[in-house]
Parts: sequence; C-alpha cells; structure tokens
Amino acid sequence: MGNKSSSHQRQRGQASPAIVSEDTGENWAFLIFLVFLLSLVGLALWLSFPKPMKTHSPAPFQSPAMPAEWGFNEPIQPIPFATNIDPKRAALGQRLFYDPQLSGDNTLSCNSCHDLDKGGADDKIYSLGVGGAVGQINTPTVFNAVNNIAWFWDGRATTLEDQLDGPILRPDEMDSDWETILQKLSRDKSYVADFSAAYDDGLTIDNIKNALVTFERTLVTPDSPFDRYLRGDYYAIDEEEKRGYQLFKDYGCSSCHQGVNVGGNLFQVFGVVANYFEGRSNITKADLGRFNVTGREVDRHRFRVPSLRNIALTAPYFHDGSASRLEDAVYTMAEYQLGRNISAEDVGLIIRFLHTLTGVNGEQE
Amino acid sequence: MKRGWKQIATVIVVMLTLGFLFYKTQSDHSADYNEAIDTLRNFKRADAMFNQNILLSRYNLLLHYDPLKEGKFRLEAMVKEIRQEGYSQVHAGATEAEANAIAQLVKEKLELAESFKSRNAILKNSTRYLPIGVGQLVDALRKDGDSTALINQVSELLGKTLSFSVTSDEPFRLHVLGRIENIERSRDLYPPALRPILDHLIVHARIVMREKLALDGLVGRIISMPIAAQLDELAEIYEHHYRLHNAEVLVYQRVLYLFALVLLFYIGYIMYKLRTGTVALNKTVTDLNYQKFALDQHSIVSITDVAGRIIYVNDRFADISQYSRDELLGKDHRVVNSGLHSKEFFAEMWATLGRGEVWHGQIRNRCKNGDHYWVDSTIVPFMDDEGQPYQYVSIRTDITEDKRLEEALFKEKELAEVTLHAIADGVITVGVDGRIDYINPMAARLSGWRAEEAVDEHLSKIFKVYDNATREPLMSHLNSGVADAEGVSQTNVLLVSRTGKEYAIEMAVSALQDRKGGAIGTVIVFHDVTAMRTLARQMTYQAAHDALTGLVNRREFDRRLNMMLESAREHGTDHALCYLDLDQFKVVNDTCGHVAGDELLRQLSVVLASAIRDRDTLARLGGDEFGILLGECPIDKASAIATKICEVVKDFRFVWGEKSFGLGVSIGVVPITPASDSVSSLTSAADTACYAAKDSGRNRVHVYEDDDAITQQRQGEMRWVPRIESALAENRFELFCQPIAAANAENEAYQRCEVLIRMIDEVGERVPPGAFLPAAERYNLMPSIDRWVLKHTFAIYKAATRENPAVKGLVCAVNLSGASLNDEKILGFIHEQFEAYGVPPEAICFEITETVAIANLTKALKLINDLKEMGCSFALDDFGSGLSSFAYLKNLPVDFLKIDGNFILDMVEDQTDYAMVRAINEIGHVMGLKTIAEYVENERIYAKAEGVGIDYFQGYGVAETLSFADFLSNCPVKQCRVVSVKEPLL
Repeated sequence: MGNKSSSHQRQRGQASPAIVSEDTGENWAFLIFLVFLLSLVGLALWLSFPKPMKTHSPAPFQSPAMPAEWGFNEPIQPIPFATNIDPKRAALGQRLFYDPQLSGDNTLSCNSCHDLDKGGADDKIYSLGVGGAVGQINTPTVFNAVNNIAWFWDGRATTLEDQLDGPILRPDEMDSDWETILQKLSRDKSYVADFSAAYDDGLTIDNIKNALVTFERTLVTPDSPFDRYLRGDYYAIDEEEKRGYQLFKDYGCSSCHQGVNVGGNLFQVFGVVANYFEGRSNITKADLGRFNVTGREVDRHRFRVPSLRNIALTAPYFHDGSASRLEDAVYTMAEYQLGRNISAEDVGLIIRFLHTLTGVNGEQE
Repeated sequence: MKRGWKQIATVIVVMLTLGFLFYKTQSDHSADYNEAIDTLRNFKRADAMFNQNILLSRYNLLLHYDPLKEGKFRLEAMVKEIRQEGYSQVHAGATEAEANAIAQLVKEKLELAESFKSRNAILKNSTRYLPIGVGQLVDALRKDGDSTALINQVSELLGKTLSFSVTSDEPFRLHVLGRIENIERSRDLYPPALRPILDHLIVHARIVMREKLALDGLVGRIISMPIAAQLDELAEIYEHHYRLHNAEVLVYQRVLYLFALVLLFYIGYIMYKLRTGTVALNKTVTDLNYQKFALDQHSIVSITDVAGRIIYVNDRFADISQYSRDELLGKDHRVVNSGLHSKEFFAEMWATLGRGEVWHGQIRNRCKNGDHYWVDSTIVPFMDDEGQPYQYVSIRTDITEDKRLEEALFKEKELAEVTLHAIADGVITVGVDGRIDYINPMAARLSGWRAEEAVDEHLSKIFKVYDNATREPLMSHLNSGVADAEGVSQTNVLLVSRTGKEYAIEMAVSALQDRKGGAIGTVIVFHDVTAMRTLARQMTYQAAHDALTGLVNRREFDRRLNMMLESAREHGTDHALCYLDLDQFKVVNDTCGHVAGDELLRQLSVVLASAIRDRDTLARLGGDEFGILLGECPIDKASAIATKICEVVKDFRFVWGEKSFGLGVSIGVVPITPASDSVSSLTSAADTACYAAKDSGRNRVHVYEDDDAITQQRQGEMRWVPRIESALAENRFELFCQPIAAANAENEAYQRCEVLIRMIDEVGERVPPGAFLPAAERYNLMPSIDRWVLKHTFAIYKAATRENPAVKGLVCAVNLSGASLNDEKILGFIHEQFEAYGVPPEAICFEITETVAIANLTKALKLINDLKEMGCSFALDDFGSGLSSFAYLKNLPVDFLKIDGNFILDMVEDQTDYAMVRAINEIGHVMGLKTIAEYVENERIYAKAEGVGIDYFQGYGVAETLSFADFLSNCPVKQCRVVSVKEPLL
C-alpha cells in the first residue's frame, strides 16, 4: 500500500516498482522504544510495591488533671467554665428547656420543676407532674448536673441523654414520648429551621436530646465565692466561712461531699452509722435507692451523694425532702452519716460555708 | 469477530488480575494497627492512672473522687473505643471475645471502685473521729477523776484500732475486736453522760475494723484486676494478625512481580514478533506492488467502496473507457453501463458479492464516446472482520474482440441449431469414435431416446436401422464412426426405435471432414417417410372432403362431376346433378350462432345421406350449399329423389337448446347428358336452377331447362363482376385499417396498421372483402382493386399528413395480390403514386402471401428488391400455411413475417400449432425478421403469443377495424390491450 505514489508516477511498460527497505534505522528506534517500555513497566512495578512500614511514634498521652496540679490539695475543686459549647445548639436547648410542648399535655416544661430561678429545682418535697400527679422523689437541681458521675438519686442514668428519658416519659412527670415531641416540634417552622441550621440532619429525636444536653452543659455555676477562693482569691470568703469550710472538712463532710460538685461523684448509704429508715412507717420504693438499679443488698438505701453546690437555694433536702431547712439537713447528716455530735455553733459556721457555694449561672442574668 | 471478543476478554482478565494483585499489595494495615496499639497503650495508661488514683485516695493523698470519676468515664470510653476500633473490626472473630473480657473486667473494676469510694469515705471519717471522740471522752473522764482504768481502756482502744488500720493481721484484728467488746461490756462503768460518746466510739471502732479489711481487699482486687494483661494479650493478637497480613502482602508482591515479569516478557515477545512481522510485511508489500504492477499492465482494475463509488482505477481502465481518472473517481460504475444487462444481472452480481463470494462474468461497458467494449470481469469483495464487504476490487480483461467473434460464431451456430431443431428431418452427428455428438429432437423422437441420453452413446445403440427389404442391419460399418467421403443415401430403411416401434425412413449418411480432408465424424440425416405418407393420405382425403361434415368437398365434387360428364359422353348414360340450398339456415346461424349452424349442417348431412343411394355423391359445396351427383339416373328419377329429399328435410326438426327449428331446402336439378357442355356450365345451370327454386317459393325442386333466361343472368360469381366494376367506376369502396400493436409497448402509440378494403354495394350497404374478393380474384379484377387501394391509401395518407404531423412515422401495410405481382406495369404505377403524393416509401409496407410470392418467385423478387431499394418494407403474409416455407424464406428479402392466423387461433389449444408458432418465431428472429401474429382475437391468444416472443400483434383482441382516414387523423393512437373478445365490425 505504501508505495502508491511511486507506482503512480510510473508509466505502463516502464521499469517495475521497487521498495526501499528502511531496516537499519527502524531497528534502533525499535530497540530504544523497547527499552523505554521495559523501564516504564519496571518503574510502574517498583512504584506498586508497598511503602516501607512507617515507624510508629505513639500519640502523646493526655494526662488527666492531676490533683497536685492545683497547688494545694483541697477536697473541693472549682467548677471549670463551660467551653466548647455550640451556641446554636445551646440556644435551641434553652428554648426546649422552657417549652411546655415537651410534656404530654403541653403544661409543663423542664423549667417547671428545674426552675432556673430557684436553684435549678423547685421548693416542693415532690414536684407535680402533668395533671397534678405527685412525684415520688425530691427534684435535684439541674445546675452543675453535668459534673455528676451518674444521674437520678439512684444513678440509673449513666449519660445525660439517658437522664432525659426519665422526666419526659414518666407518667407522673411530663408523660410524653419522643415521637410525639418530634411531631409537635415539626409543626413549628422556627424549630425546623433552627435545627436545620444547627444540625446537618435537622430536627431529629437525637438532636432534640443533644440540644437539651448542650444547654445543660452551660448550666454550671463556676463563679461562686468559694470557687473564687479556691482559685486564689483569699478574700472571696470571710473568716467565718473559712472556719465553716475547715469544720466541713474536720467533721468528715468532705469525705463524701468533695470534688467539683461537692458530692455527686459517688454513692453512699443513707445511714452509715445509724439506720435512717428505722422507725419510718412507710418505706417507699424511692427509699430503696440504688437497690432499684443493681438489686444488690449492699445498695439498699444507697444514693448518689448529692452535690452541695447552690445547696442554700434547693430546699427541701434529701431524696424524700424531709429536711426543709439546711440546719436540719446538717444535723441529720451528723447523726446518721458521721455518727457525731455537733454543736449549733459549728452547724451555723458550716451553713455559712455552704452559702459560699451558691454561684451564678449566665442564664440567670 | 469472535476472536476480537476473545482478545478483549483476555485483556480485561489481565487488567483485572493486575488490578487485583496491585490492590492486594497496596493493602497496608500499619496505620490501623498503629492506631489500635495506641488505643491499647492509652487504655493501659488510663487503667494505671485509675489504679494510682485509687491508691492516692486510699491513703488520703487525694481528697476528692473527681479523678476517679473522670477515670471511670475514660475507661468506659476506652472500652467503647476498642470495640469500635477499626483494626479489631477487621479481625472481629479473634478480638471480640478479648474486648468483651476487658469490658467485663472494667465493669467489675468500676463497680469495685464505687464500693471503694463509699467505704473509703466511711473509713476515713471513722479513723478521723476516733482520736477526737477518745479525746473528748478522756477529757470528760479526767474531770470525773478515779477513772484511770477507763481512760486506759479507751486509750488502748484508740491505739489498737488505729494500729489495725495500718496492719491487717488477723489475730490482731480478733484481739482488737475483743477489746471493743470489752469496752462494750464495761459500758455501765462509764458515767451516763459519756455513754453516747462511748457508743459513737464503739460504732466507729467497729467500722474501722470492718471497713479497713474490706477496703484492703477492694484495693487489692482493683489493683490486681488483669486489665493490663488482657490488653497486652489483645495487642499480641493484633500484632499476630498484622504479621500474618504482612506475610500475605509479601506473597501477593511476589506473585505480582512474577506476573508483571511474565507480562513484560510477553510484551517483549510481541514487540519482537511485530518487528519481524514488519520485515515480512515489507517484503510482502514489495511483492504485492510488483503483483499490482503486473496486474495493472495486464488488466483493467478498479476498486469501489461498499456504496459502489469508484475509489481507484488504473490507467488501463481510463484508457479503455476514455474517461480521465478524475472523471471516474467518486462515480459508480453506471458511468460505463451500456444498458445491455438486465437489472437481474446486476442484482445477481451484488447478491453474490454480498455473500462475500467472488463474482465472475462478462460485461458490456460503454466508452465515453458511446462505443461499447466487452470485459471479462472478476470482482472480489474485501471483507472486514464482521464478514461485511468494505470494498470491491474488479479486475477485467478486454474481450471485445473475442466477444465479437463469439457473437458471430454464436449466431451461425444458433441458426444451424435452431434450424436443426426445427426441421422435420432427423439429424445425428457421430464422432470418429462412433459416439453420438449431436442428435436433434426429431431424430431423438424417432429413435425413442431423449437427446441428452443419446449423446455420447454409441450410434449402434441408439440408431438401429435395417434394410427394409432384407431386414439386414445397416450402418454396422459406421461403428468405426467414419462414413465414405462421398456419402450414402438410402431410401428404404427401417428404423426400430427404443420402444420397438418401426418407422420407414429415408436417410443420407455423409462424412464430416476438416479443412485438410481428414475425417472428423459422420452426419446422418433421415426422415420419417411413414409419417409423410400418412400425411399425404390425410391431405388427399382432406383435399377431397369437407372438414365439417365429412362430405365430399367442392373440388372433389367438381372432379367427380367431370368424371361423370366424361362417362356420360363415353357411355351415353344419363346422370343428374342437384344443387341444394338450405332456406332457413341463416336463421339458425343468426339466432344460435355458428356452433349451432355447424351442428345443423352435420346433422343435416346425415339426413341427406340417408335420402340418397350409396353410390351417389353428396357434397358440401360451401356454407349452406350442398350438391348431389346421381349416377345413371334419368332426370325424372332425379327429380323424384330431389322431391323426396325436400320432404325429408321438411320433416327434420333441428333442436338446439330449448329451440326447435324447421328447415326447408331449395333444390336445383340439372341432367348430365352426353350433350352437356362443360362442368362449369353444369354447375352454373344447377346454381341457376337452385336460385329459381328459391325464387319460386322455397322448399321446392326446380329442374333446369336450357331456356331458363332469368336464371341465366344470375349465374354464380359472375354476378359480382359487373358489381365490382361499377363500384370501381363509381368509387364505391372504402378504406379501413387494423392497427398492429408492438410487443411490450402498452400505452405507446401504434406505429403500424394494415389497410383493408370494403365495398359499398348499390344500396349503400358495406360488403366484406370475403364476399367479393374471391370473385375479383377469379375474374382478374384484383390489379384494378390493388391500384384503387394504393392510390387512395396514398391520397388519404398525404391528406392526413398535412393536417396531422403525427401520421409521419406510421407504417401502413398494403396487400399486394398475386395478380398484381404478375402485372408488369404495377411497379411503374407504384412509382407514379409515390411521386404524385410524395408519401415517404418508409411509410409503406407491402404484404404478399407466401404462396403467391413463391409461385411468382422471380417477378416477386424483382418487385421486392425494387421497392425495398426505394425504402419500402415487405411482409410475408399467412406464413406457415405453405409447405416449404423455411427453404424459401432465405431467398425472400422480407422484413416481417405474418404468421398464419390459423396457427395463432389454434395455438392455445393445439400443441403442434404452438410449436409451429414458436419455430416460425425463432426462425424469423434468427433471420433478423420481425414477427407479426394475426387473428389475435382474445387475451389468451395474446398472452400465449406474447409468451412466445412475437414482436407484433394484430386482431380483434388488439384493436378493431376502423376507418383508415379516422385512424390517421386521430394519430397518435395509444395502444391498449383489449381484454374481451369482440365481434368484428362487419
């Protein structure tokens, strides 16, 4: 085919056509091409081998806050300021916290019992649920709840999200369920829009819970006088209050009421040295405490040690709300938990100290 | 196509394998593994930290449980993490149990820690209170005085209890417990005011005793919880998996390496093959170029694409077609299409090529200047992978000269073959080996063999002949295959056919010689004499008898009459002649048709025969006329017989369908005496007498008398002579014509017609030519009529041409009678007419009958040649009715053959006539004549004739007879096939 032009020019009857062989040049080109191709394949092969294993450098270990770090070893620790809070989610949580749609009959919000203006709890022995239903246990404060080891008096919730189920589902509290709440909120365009803005997947049950929990994380009172004192402000509390603090430690209160929350991070039997429930005519289920969770005899009447943060604001006291005044509570504690006599003067000083634990939350301002 | 798929599949498989191996080698778990190990390490640290904080809390170095709380959360998170850990997920089966075990351990540990926290707080408070309580108690006791023993007891309790809180000796514990019980027992020794304090002290001391032991156990259990060991174990599992995986990757690496190596070598091999292939290819290309050069030198080459467009032509193509290369490229081969070959021819060609087969054939092409050239063409389709042609290479050789020679040869051969095929003689040619080379149909028929069977057989097997007289086998010497050079002719030969049938034949045997006189075979020509004799007998009979009734015909009747007249003169005997004319025959004919008429005549002939004696002659003289010869019968008796016949006919009823007819007959009787003048006078007299009988009232007998003056005038055709003469004088003729249709030219204009004549009698009625032309022929009036026809034809043609130019190109056929052919002045007359009217000679075609032409061959030839020289054309009319037509045909330079109408009419029914028509048509075509079919009266005949291949058609089935002048003025008249049979106009 290649020699078309040459035969084209030739007239008939003239010399026959011939082909010029281009052997010599092509051989070299072919050889070079072959070597190039081989090296290309070789390179591809070499590249295809896995890289040598990377030498492993362990990630630096994030050391937890050491007790000595603070400078002086105190049983009570200052409340850390809330950080890393998503403002949109927190705002949503706040709105939900005050939203009565979370209750079955739209009458109660979280704030109905955990009144943020009343220390994050109400002043009743037992809070009233929907339709005037009476609760079975005294309402703990929502303030600083985030720093507890577990939630409810018996510590049956191990996460804040689980804790939400309690009040929402109980028929004698808000008597609702998450599906209903989701439907109610879905009708509110502003909720839908705000959730869409705050969450990729918009309004969902998990996101409702997350918003509430996020808001709860902001409900801390990190700036009480005693916190300031712990942080180094020696004059944040007066001498009597310092004495009260000393007595608090000396009497052994701080054996349980310690840590950031001045309690809240362990369980203790109510009635260590004497039987608190002896002589009580009616032992309710709530009185059984952690026994209801674990079923173990050792947990009978064991409760999560309540936080003493803002304790002055959250009367009445104990799970059964049996102490209406702080003095009563201190006396009861001395008798049943410490097994000691305590003078009225010491009680007064301790109460002075306890008042320094009352802090302010940003929400209240 | 399949191979292509296979290759693609192979490539895909190789790519997939490569990809798979590559993927496998890229599987690097080190990141996952490192992460997992990190997690485990952090887990261990968290666990250790937790343990540390437990211990710190236990020994009051840590005053709050927040670190333990955080440690709890941390450990729980770690448990969660190792369960979600990506690396452990990969090996879930091996590590899930481990993770579960660790989770369980952590859970237990955390529960123990909770317990620890609670108990630790209690123990702490109790140990804190004990010194304080003892101090208060001792102070109070000291105030009382006299209570040293109690003070000691209390102090000892404090000391021992506190001692116990740092030791865990069991005997010591029992000892301390004993002390506590002692104090309890000696409670009453204490002042009542101090007893509550003492009670508190005892409670706290017991708490210390209880909690210290429990706490130590708890701490021990917490610290010794084998979480770290479990984590190490998990790490080991991870590491094991990791190593296994790395080993697996190593295997894949090696496999990949090997695979790639094999592939590499394969690629190299293919490159090498390609390279060597290229060298071979170059060689092949060189060879091909030489071959192409050689091909171009020899052949006409062109290449077309699938669409038939020329994409390459060589110089020879351009040279022979006279087109330049540029004129050809992009065109298709229709450029050189000569139009000779049918669509089917090319369709077959494309079908062959379409199947991918090579096509061979000979094609006539057309040059640029319109000349033709023949090529022997070989077309090779080039097929692509899918088996579809993508171009066609056509290689042609110029065979124009071969073709010309071949055609000439073929024409010769065909003429000979067709002739041999058609002739009634048997012809056999035998090669020198005595085997038959050729046997024509007649010879095959007679021998009883089929031609194709007989060929190559030995002559003696096929052609068994014997001397008819001696019954000796003949031709045995021909077995050698060579006859005497001068030839042998034998007339009395018996041929025994294959079936044993015997034929009397005449045969001639001649030697075939080549140019040098060498024998190349023998030719045997023979014909069946038996058939000819039978035919002769038949013809004799037919010549003497009427076909319809089987009675004697006019010719025989005349002969017998002559014999009778002679016998009368010789022997002086009296005979009688009767003429019979049926009276109501026309009624039957008109109301029931010719078939009924024919049937009536047949029945009547039987009736008549019964009425006369056996020795008498009953003849049908024509139409409804009968004649009877009564031998040795005086006129009285003859008259009586005639009367009897009248009565018989009168009694006879002819029934046709539902109709019944009565008949009458008028009979003229003439005596045949020695005095009778001549046959013609006798017949004339009988005719006259019959007329007289009719005139005098029908159904009666009239005996002729010499003085019968009235009848005299009316004798026979004589009547017509003055009528024709007066018609000529008064121009009482009219010209009609019948258009002649050309084959395969429907909807085109007629180009031919035959001019016909009609006479108009004294009262203005048209007389058909059959009525007066026989008389005109007999009394020599035909030359005058022919002249009248010629003159008026020319005049009308001329007049029509002036008004209607479309007439030009129309060819008019004019009949020339035998008498005119003999007329020496006719040629001059025709010349005059041409000059006078200026009619183009090409427009005139003369029709002469075969018999007439042959009877006056010399004169006819002169006339034909003269007129043809002028430009006129000639047609041979009624061809086939004569006997030796074919032989003369070669001598008559006519242009058209008009096949005898009787063949045409019967060819639908009669196979012999059909074969005859075919033979005439073939011979006519071979001789280059156009053929015309007459009497095409209906569609069936038309279809049959068309099938034979006749060129022109004439008859009522094609077009009716119409006025010549009208036809010309209406020119051009379109041809259309007439479907139904129509009665003639006249």
